[in-house]
Amino acid sequence: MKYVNPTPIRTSINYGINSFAVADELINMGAVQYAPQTALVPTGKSNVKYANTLGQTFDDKLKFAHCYTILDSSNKLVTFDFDNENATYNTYITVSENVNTNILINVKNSNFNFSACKIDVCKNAHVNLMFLCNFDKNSTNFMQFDVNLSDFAKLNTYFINFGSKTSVANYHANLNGENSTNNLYSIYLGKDDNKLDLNFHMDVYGKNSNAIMKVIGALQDSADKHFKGTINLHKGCTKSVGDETEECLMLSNTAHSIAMPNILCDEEDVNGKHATSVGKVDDKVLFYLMSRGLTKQEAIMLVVNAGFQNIISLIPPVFPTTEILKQTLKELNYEN
Amino acid sequence: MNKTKVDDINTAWFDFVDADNFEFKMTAGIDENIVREISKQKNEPQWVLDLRLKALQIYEKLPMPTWGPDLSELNMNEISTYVRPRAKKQTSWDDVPENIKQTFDKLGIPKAEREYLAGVGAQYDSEVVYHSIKDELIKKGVIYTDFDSAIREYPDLVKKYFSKCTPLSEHKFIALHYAVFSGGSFVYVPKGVKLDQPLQSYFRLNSPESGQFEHTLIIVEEGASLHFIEGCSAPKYSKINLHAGCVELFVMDGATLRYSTIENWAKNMMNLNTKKAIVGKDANMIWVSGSFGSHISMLYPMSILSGENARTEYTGISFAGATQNLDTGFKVVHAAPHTKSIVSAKSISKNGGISTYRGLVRIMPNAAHSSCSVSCDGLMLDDISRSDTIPVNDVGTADVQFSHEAKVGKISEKAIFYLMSRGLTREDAVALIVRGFANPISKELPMEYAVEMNRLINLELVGGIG
Repeated sequence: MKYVNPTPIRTSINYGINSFAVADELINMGAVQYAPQTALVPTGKSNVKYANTLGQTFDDKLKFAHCYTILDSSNKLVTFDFDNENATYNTYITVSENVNTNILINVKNSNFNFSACKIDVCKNAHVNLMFLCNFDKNSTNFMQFDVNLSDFAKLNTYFINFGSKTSVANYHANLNGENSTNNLYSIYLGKDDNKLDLNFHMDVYGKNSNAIMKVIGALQDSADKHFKGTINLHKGCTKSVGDETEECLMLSNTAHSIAMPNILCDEEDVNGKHATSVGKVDDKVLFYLMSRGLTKQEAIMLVVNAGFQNIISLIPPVFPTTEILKQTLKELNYEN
Repeated sequence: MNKTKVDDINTAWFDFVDADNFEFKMTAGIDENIVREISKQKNEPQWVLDLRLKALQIYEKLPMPTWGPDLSELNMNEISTYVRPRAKKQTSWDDVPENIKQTFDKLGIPKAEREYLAGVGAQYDSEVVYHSIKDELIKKGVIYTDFDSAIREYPDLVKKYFSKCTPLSEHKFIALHYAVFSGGSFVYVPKGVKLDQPLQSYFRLNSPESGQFEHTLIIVEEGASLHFIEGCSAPKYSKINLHAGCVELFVMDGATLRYSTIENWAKNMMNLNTKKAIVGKDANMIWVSGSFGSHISMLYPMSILSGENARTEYTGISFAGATQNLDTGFKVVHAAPHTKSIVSAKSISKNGGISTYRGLVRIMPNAAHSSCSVSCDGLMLDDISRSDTIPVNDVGTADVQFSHEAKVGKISEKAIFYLMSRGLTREDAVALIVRGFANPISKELPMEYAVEMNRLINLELVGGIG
């Protein structure tokens, strides 16, 4: 047994929220390398360059570190399909200066998945990036995302996490450039005895930058969720904004939610805030919906879905939002 | 652009020093011989010595905290754990030695006693030198005495509750506390007795390179109510002093306890204090806490809401100036249905001071229909200070209402502009905002302490600095 996914700081209690226990068999499969400081992702120059990535789909079952540089703007999707059992993916994407692009990283049907993904967003590049995780319900997944943003770079990250028995995600963004923005929107759904460990971390160095996290989720059955969100406003990041919110809807009395929303502030001239809320579906809302003919289950799922819509509605239409919506309903057992 | 200067908390007037005129000062360090000697000096029963020795074993085994501020400056080999002043416990200020009486006079304790307190305890270094309580309260069965006397005079009560709220093994410094504890207060409020005026214990540490380890045990029986005020200060020395006290509070069914603390330790003090309350059915525990002094503080009061419909409120403010690292917060465990907690924490940091809110809310699976609201605000007054918020929210049932919000930043220029457009100077506008920021705390304090706190947050306002 080994512990991974630590937060950069320690809490006054010490009962597992700081790190995630990994079984021995997973250690042998490489999961122990899962931590920002031991990322597998190479930092050298790209070994593959695609001059034209319009609508390009990469599905060549990557097993080793592959690097891509996106050179051209496009409204279409650049898609990476990772679909394999017992896979280890290691991907490094560079988005060149002044490029506007949409990237979809589609991971599904893994038994065991360990993916490390590094993305550099160069000066004035604007990127919409979606991680769509649709795992087998018995799978184990470790995902590591490492993001660097240069001056005026903007990255909207949509992290949609469905399925899997154990899902451990570590997202680390460095807002190095001035006027850089990272909006991280995430949806999670825990069912059965799922374990979710989400460790989202943003380091803000550049002036006038925006580090925004918005996380919405629901927990059913005996699902156990640990959310660790940290926005670190470093000295010199004047006029920057750090804002994180997490909303967790508890649909079962046996579900368990731990939230640790941290704001670390070493700079005076910033605006940092966070908010978390946990609760069940309001009885009055349920009563109203049921008086309109819905069953209790339908009413609950409608409310949960409405919460998710707060994020889904932000996703640009170039992404498969309909599929996400369909998948959401399926996960919520609300599909005909 | 104009910058407004807000002064550090002015604790200098607490820094007057008495001659280190002790009757007995324990050799520095901590080992079994020292623990046995403390027990011998205090002429304690065997069961207390046994508890001390057990605590010492635990202390030696437990590691230093792996989180929070750096405690490497603390060298227990340089700390004397027991200092007995040249004074016996008195019930009249006239009998207290003149130098010690003068100390408490300067701190305003006798005056406060005359004007609005129902009882006072005053501890000087490791021993209580003055304790009094109004006769009418004695007639009602209220016990308010120093902890050493309580061990001798009320052994059954003490044995029943002592170390039951805060066990020996909770952390390294609580184990240290139990090994060398001395002084402190014991309060017992019988069933249904409501005290109209507060009781106050004041702890003064005068001796350099020493520690204060007072134990406060308060039992508020069913339907009773009490307001207890704790004050503490020490003069500043160049070497580290240590405060590792312990407060155990039992708030029985339907009782109310308000526990107010104004802490002005000198800036060479490590304040590693532990405070915990167990709150019964329909009972109410209110914490009001002002942390202004100390070099390093690790202070996280805790309420365990063990009875149905129990409530707790925490209102706290900390002001971290130069060389200060104040790591404070509040912990609450909802362990019964229909329990409620409200947490409001504020911090101000300046001149390189570090303020951290480190809190915990745990709602147990059996705590259905509970609600919790946490609010943290951090105000940074310059660009060399630091303010962190590190909460943990652990919810184990669906049927709850839980919300947490925190904000950190500087004083809004818009707010200053607005107030200036209404005719205030920039300095007055900033002063108004800072006082307004601290107001939720000061309004929870008795009037005299609110005035005191406002005096501590002494604003020196200088305009025109670029």
